[in-house]
Amino acid sequence: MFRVTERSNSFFSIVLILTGVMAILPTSWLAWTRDLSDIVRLPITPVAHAGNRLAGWLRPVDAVDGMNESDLRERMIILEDERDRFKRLYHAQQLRLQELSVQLSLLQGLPDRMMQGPRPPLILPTDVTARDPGDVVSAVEVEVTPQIDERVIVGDVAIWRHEYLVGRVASRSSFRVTILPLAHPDTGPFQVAVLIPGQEEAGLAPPRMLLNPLGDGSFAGEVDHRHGTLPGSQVVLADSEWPPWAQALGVGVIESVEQIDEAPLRDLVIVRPRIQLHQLPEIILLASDEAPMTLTGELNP
Amino acid sequence: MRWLVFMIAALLATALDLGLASAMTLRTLDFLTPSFAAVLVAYMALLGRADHVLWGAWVVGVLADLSPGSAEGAEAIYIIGPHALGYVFGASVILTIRSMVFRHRVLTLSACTFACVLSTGLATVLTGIIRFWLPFTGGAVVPFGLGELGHSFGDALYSGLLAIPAGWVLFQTMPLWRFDYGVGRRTA
Repeated sequence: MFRVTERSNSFFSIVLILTGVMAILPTSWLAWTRDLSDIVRLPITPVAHAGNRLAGWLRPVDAVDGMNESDLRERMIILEDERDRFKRLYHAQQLRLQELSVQLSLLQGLPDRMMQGPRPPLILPTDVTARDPGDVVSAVEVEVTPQIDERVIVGDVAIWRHEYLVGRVASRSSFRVTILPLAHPDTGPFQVAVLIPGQEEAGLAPPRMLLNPLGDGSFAGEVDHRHGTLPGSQVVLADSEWPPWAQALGVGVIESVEQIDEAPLRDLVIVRPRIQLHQLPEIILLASDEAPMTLTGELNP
Repeated sequence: MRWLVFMIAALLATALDLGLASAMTLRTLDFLTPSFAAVLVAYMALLGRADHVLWGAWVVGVLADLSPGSAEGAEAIYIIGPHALGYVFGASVILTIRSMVFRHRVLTLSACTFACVLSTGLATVLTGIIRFWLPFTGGAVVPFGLGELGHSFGDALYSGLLAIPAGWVLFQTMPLWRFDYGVGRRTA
């Protein structure tokens, strides 16, 4: 057996007991740990950030083979971004059209109103500075640039490659911005639309369902069996509780569809994200553009 | 043991776990990820003085519990305990058996790293279960369950593998540490 001095042993025992007590303290009593973590992160974050960049370089999430020419790669990235953006806009317009067609009869009886479209969001690319690569639903922290410090608020969304929704800002301070993955149980249920390839081309409205995070990185939802939902179909956000610019962003693809025995008219659908937040070395934050306006309603330069 | 060297190594190991470890994650195997911090604790536990080892393991554990990627839940709460207690438990096990093993062998370090990660997994699951059942803790913030244990076992195996190259590097730095562990069993 090992030996330790009597005095050191008793003091260490007390520290261990205190640690054990701290581990089971109520969540509401542990807010001070955030401050402690802020202090710990001071020496750790620069090295962790560099490590994340190196990891992203060593093992890119979406490697593009055969694009060694830097200018060609840049052009490809721009084209892919544009393609993803237009695809998202197309899906968003489809959802909007569906909503408007449902509301049309109600709106016909009302006085004309000026439709004010949402302002485009601020696009803020940022590096991930800390993540737990082994935990699918762990929160990540991103680099706090001055622009992010000024503009990002709790509830803003995090996306990847202009197409996939990966998380939402859960908390922010001058030291850190914490992003909770979409698949985290605390993100809560949200509404999505299922883009079934055949129905989409036939002009049929995409079926909607409420998705619940399961805690293992996937989601579950129930959809009408008559829609004929198939594995592999894309699922996009269609929830008015989320910012307008997050609508129609990809949530994932349907992994499995099973008819529910207790309710044969319903299908249990398991959705898995194409990419998990904790895999990404960098993300893009979409923040609301709260720039001051003039009295005439024009944006200040 | 030189505490300055230990602190630098502890911060570096924690930072590597948060950054570079993601390059080694097995994405197709439930995202198994090795732990540099566990390798450090095992290394220290094999060679350091008992009381220094326990304090060191606790410090590395607290650093891991407070590290930026460990926030739990929507409120980004840090639970101090799972790693702190787990590493201390793992270090205690190593301290108990170290007189019976070849301390300077990389394979010994590998096996001890396995024990460290596994004990941390057990401590995490235990904390999760206690937090789940106690009415005042605010629910299951720390994940637990058989899946979590299985994941820890995988992480432990992977960390044991990582300990072979990482341990070799650590053994090269031995003169810097100035371990004063007395008479140990050494290889020829």
